[in-house]
Amino acid sequence: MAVSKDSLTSVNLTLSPRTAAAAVLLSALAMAGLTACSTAAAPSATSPSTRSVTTQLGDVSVPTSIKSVVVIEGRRDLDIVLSLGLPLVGYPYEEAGSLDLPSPMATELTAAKAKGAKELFLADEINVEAIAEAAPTLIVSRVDDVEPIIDQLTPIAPVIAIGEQDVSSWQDDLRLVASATGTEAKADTLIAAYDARVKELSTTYATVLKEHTFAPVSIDDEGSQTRPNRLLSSVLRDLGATPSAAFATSIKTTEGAKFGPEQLLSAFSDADGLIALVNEPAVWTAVQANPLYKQLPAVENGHVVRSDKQTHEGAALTAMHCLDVIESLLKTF
Amino acid sequence: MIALPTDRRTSPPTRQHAPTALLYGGGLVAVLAVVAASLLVGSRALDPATVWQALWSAGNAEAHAIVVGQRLPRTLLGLVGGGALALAGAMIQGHTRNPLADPGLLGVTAGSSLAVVTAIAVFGLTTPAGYLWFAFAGAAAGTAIVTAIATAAGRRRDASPASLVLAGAAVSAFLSAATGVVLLLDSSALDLYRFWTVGSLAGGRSLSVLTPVLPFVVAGAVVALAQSRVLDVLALGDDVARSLGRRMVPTRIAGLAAVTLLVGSATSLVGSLGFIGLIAPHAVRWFTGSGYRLLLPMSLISGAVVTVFADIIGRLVVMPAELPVGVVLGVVGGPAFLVIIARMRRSRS
Repeated sequence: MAVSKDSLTSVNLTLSPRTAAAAVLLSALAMAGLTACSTAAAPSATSPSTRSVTTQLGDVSVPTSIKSVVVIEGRRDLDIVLSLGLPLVGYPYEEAGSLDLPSPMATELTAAKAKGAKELFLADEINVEAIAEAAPTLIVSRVDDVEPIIDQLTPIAPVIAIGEQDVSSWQDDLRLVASATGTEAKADTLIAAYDARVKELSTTYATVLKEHTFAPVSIDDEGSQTRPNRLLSSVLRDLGATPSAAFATSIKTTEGAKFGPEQLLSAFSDADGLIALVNEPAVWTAVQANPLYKQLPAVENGHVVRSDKQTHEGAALTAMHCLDVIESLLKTF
Repeated sequence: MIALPTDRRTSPPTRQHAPTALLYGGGLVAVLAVVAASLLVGSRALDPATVWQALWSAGNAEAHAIVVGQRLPRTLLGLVGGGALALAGAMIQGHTRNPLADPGLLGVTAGSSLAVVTAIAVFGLTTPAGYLWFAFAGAAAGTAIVTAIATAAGRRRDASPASLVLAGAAVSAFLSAATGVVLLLDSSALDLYRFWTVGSLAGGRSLSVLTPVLPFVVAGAVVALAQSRVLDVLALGDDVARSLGRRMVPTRIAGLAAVTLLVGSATSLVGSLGFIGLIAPHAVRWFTGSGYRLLLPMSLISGAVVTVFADIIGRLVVMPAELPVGVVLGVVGGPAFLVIIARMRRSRS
């Protein structure tokens, strides 16, 4: 249908301010979509102004000049962007006061905020309009989060889909984002620093790691569990820590070993050292008052440290934090 | 002498019930059986001798911690909470003459929910012991609002059953909406609220949670059981009850006070256990008939038994994890509700 310029003008004049703003945003999205489509039309012809990388969702062309980055999941993706020093402009936030332990990325995130990074939406409640409003030149996030909305995201910016603990290592994902953003040297430095710290700790505490058994254990009202591929678990394994029976079972089966509330003592009585993963301070207080917890040999001997879900997933920054947590446990022996 | 109506829907009990002594005896056996099973069954296998020793001695520290620290408290919570909710359900059904009424009808549950969510979101309380009094106060406030509105709106200013039901539905809807708003504003409260609203006997609650609430449960039960004769008269209709010398306002207020005490206490202990207040009185009617002198105490017993039994099932079906008792009751309660509706339709046709 042909529409005259006059009629368009007349329509625009009747729009309310909110509707007009929405129309402008939609127009911008449509324009961005057209731009993305034209870019996708020739993915193999990587020009000097773009880099091409292959992600789990296919080939992606990324501008060589990264001016702003948004992350959507807020764990591994956030860690990678912060550790590579990319210009973060938006990220999801956790409910204030929901966790009492400091974030492994607290220092870097504070610096990013000072440079203008904004909280876009509550974690797990993705707001595409907020992402569009941040106008990023690159989006980085977990594949499970971006895959269902990839058609909405690609018109906004190229999307680098990374993995998670059961899919890919943080080192692989760090290198992927680094190759997309021209920060390979920084990634190599981060990975080398992690490897060096692992070597240092595994040497310093070789006897403790070999002669004692360890387990990371999540504890709450509904029971306890230990999982093999959470970042803290992976770091423990990188150090060569001898796993307790439950942790060894979870490693062998590659699935978490779950236990009911009554099984806490029987499941972890063979562990000489425990990392208790408890998110809320009130739950931690309740756990410490639990007679079964108090009877754990690791607890009776003072070989317990606490961490929380912030060490479940991440990359270089969180992995180094995990090493700090584990070292604080090893020092108790 | 007044001729009593014979309408099947409002008449006092006509069905022959089982011998009273047999009912009480059976109830006692059932209580003892579920208590024993609840102490014996769990994700940590303990033989009966170990359980018995653990009850009286801390020699086996692990068994003592499991039996006395976990299984015994959840058993007693189930007995008290389930019994109170079932008794309250029977009371509500009697006062409203509505066989499908449950304790949530008077805004009690919705009031408790809003208070608990507020306690979590605003005051940062995260443990059952912490928001226990909020749940209780919310239940009382919900019932008070419903009663006040129903009394004000009642044509004869006596909080008639229809007014109560309508006011309860409206107030419950409003309080539920307010709860939803609070949860939207503070999603971190959602996890804790979910655990409470499903209803659970787990969570490491000790007997110290039961102690402060027990007097209210006992007071509510005493008032409720004392109303059994009144409820039989109310079943004949308000006009007949009035003609028999019953003063409706004090009668209703006493009944609502009992329900508030029972439901407020129970929900603060075990959360919002849907259907137990509906199922238990109906199950009991198979054996007792509809006379409240036997129906009320037997509802109390059956509610306690069914709740603890559901908790035992919840420990077994997904072992070593557990299903909250509220989920098990919901799974059973849904079909039971349908059966009740089908029976009602058959009896009216």
